[in-house]
Amino acid sequence: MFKRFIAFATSLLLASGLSLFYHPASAEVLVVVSAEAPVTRLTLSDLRDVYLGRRTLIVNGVEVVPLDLTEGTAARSEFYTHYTGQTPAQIKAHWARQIFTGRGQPPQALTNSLAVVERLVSDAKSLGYIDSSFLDERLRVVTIE
Amino acid sequence: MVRQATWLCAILIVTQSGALLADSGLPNLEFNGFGTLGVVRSDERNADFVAAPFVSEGAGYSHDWSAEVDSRLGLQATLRMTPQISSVVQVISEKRHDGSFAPDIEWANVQYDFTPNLSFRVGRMVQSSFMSSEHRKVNYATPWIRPPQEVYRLLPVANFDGVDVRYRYPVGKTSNELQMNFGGGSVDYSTGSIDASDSWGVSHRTHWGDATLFASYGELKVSADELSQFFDVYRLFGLPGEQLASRYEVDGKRTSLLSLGVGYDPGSWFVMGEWARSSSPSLLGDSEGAYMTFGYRIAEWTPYVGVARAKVTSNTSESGLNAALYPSPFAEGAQLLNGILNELLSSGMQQESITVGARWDFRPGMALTAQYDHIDMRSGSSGGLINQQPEFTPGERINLFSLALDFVF
Repeated sequence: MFKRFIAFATSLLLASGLSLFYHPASAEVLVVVSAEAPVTRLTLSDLRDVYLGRRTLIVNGVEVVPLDLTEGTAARSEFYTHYTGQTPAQIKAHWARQIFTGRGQPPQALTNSLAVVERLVSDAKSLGYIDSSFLDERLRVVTIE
Repeated sequence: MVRQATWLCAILIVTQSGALLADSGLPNLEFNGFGTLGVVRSDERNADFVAAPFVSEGAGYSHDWSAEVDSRLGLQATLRMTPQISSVVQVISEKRHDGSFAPDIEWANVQYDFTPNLSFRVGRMVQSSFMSSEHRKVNYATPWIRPPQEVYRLLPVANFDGVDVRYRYPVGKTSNELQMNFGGGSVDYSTGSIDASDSWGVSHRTHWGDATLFASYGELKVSADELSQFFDVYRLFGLPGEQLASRYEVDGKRTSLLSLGVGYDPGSWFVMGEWARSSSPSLLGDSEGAYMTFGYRIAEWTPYVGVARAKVTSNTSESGLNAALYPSPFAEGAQLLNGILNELLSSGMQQESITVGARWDFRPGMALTAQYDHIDMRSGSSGGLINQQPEFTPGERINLFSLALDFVF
């Protein structure tokens, strides 16, 4: 009985202690491509420029096409905050500047990570980001340096 | 002539591209829009504050609270016909010189991408004279209620019919964009129009991490029938009149515009600033403008402060014809002409301003912004105010309060 209490207390302490250092699942967004795709690593500035439409990235002669998640999803907010340092409202303003000057439309947006996974698997040109719990062996995590 | 040719060219590209359709998902048509619902109050009761120089009325004299200064609606259709060819048509409804909100075409062009980084456009475009010129009417996309007048009103002609080329190139960690354009345009006002012909411009933008660097240079020939007629009258006054007319005539002379801009935006705060100079060996003279805006982001709130300054660096008065040398009624005519000439020379914007505001991004695609401006006009300057009444005194200070709801969809 006493042992069980100790175990319980320890796990509680551990959990609360960990949460101070570790920001849980909502924070875990991975940049991924199909395991068949040529892309293995990207610089942070390339990733940012591709998603903001500032640069067309060509790897092994093939244009890399970014995929987005729909506005309001947690993974999308996390992706833009983490990799571009911008809030969804700032990204919206950025695309307003592009659209209304005829300089392009935002990346195609899919409704959830599962849809992104399915698209990536069927299209090796695409680049996407997903909630880490959707990662499987058909995908490769892109190293962002 | 250039304008007819560009339209013909645009129509040809659209009609010929139908045969090239290949990729699935194309052609693809997107509709987008933007707008602002805004009100402004000015404490100067004897003249109107306006955001664009040629509208019929604004806040202060005509209206206590004017909803016509900043309100507008823009609708856009973007058609991607093939992977290389796309077309944009954007129509904007806003207050005009005749008092109406009749819609006008702001953008209408066809773009051809030779490569993803090299594109060519023909049709109607907006010159990238300043850092935010091309999207200056999309208030949602800028931090302020309206772009700082001290810079953005240096040049009134904004969109043009012609061609432009854009080349994007990465260098190391920077992404760069070079843009060149050529064409002509016109702006209507209540009693005539101002035309710009043979205008060309080059602009360059570099994104380097959180920093943006911008530079632009352009030249154009401005003409206005009313001004030409005014100087024709001067020429009736013999050699002194001829000399004044050739000194101040606008027709056939080139006006140049140079501007430099910087921005730094690491996310939680931003700073941006621009400096620009327009020069013309004519009545338009030489002017300089600059601003600096600093903003801080706290969740959905973005408070900001800005300072700006505009000055005319060429002469703002002219002794003109010596009326004593002419018999009546030419003497009175000379005085009248001198009066108009001096009024035109002193009408350039000369002022300093302080802006304090806050933006609230309360839901996706919508923002509410409140802004206070304190404008200190130099003596003799009317700071771009219109509908000046006899009781109006140039060179005073005015205070503005503006509230705007901006949206994009």
